[in-house]
Amino acid sequence: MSNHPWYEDVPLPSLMREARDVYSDAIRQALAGAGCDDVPRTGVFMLADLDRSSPRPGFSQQADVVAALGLSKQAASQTIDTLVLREYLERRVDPEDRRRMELRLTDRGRTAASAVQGAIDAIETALAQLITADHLRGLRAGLAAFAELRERQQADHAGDARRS
Amino acid sequence: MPARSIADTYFSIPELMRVARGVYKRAVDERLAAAGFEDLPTPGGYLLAYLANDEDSIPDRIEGLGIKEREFTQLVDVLVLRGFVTRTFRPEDGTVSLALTDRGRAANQVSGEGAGYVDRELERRLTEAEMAGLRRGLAVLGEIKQSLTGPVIRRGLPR
Repeated sequence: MSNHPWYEDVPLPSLMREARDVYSDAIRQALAGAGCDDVPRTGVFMLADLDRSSPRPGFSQQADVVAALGLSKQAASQTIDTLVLREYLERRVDPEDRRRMELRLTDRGRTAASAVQGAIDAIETALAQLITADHLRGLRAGLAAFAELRERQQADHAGDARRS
Repeated sequence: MPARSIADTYFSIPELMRVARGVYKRAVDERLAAAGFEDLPTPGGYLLAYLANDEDSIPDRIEGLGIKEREFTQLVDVLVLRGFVTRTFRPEDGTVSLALTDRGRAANQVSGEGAGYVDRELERRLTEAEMAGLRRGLAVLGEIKQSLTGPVIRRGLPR
């Protein structure tokens, strides 16, 4: 029998496609189990970020939360509106600077964030058991390289749009 | 202040996967549009690649694309209408066969060039060990996904 790993013969786009939804599938299952199945797809990482960055009862600047998401301003605003409407986030005017808005998780938001983090942790644990530390570093380096290419594509596209 | 790198900005694997998503699609779509194939529907490129390899039966192709049979039939309708594929029904055994047209072959070649560009860029940026880690890591993530979702929905896509 050959020791040649099966994935050596599979093209990278196929491996990416196979792997890409592993976190979102697990997160969806965990959110449904926690009674939070109405979290919008784009809001998942926002809840997790807020949970890490602002221990209760602290508020975070909305602009900082939006910047960390990597979404367009419009998409981020829509996501925040939905999360506020569905009682995952509390939004208020910054008392020290009334031009700014602040956000923090509600109890429901913390429940959802905890479910998200639990799902991510479960996959990270499984991953760490199944691949070596060197492979994990390679995975991170590879995904970062993909992401850099993606950013360059977006910058090129924006440049083309400005020129046309 | 120097700009922060992607690896410094996004710490977790799921965040990296999120920002990395779509890199192949964008590279392929740009080339398809430039070559006059912007009417190729998204999963159609994969089907063209299957047909170019001529390896799988139609049920295998449906499974590989991760779509329902009805969606597959609609996809083939579009590809036939737009001149990428021909569909032939054989009354003697009731089977349907699909084949690439010249336009379909050309579009498949352009798609391959787009994916090849990303592969080459990646090989240029990563060491051999990092490439091996990337492949192994993605493969294991795919296996974890399958263990979470039950039966395999998608198999490997064509080379």
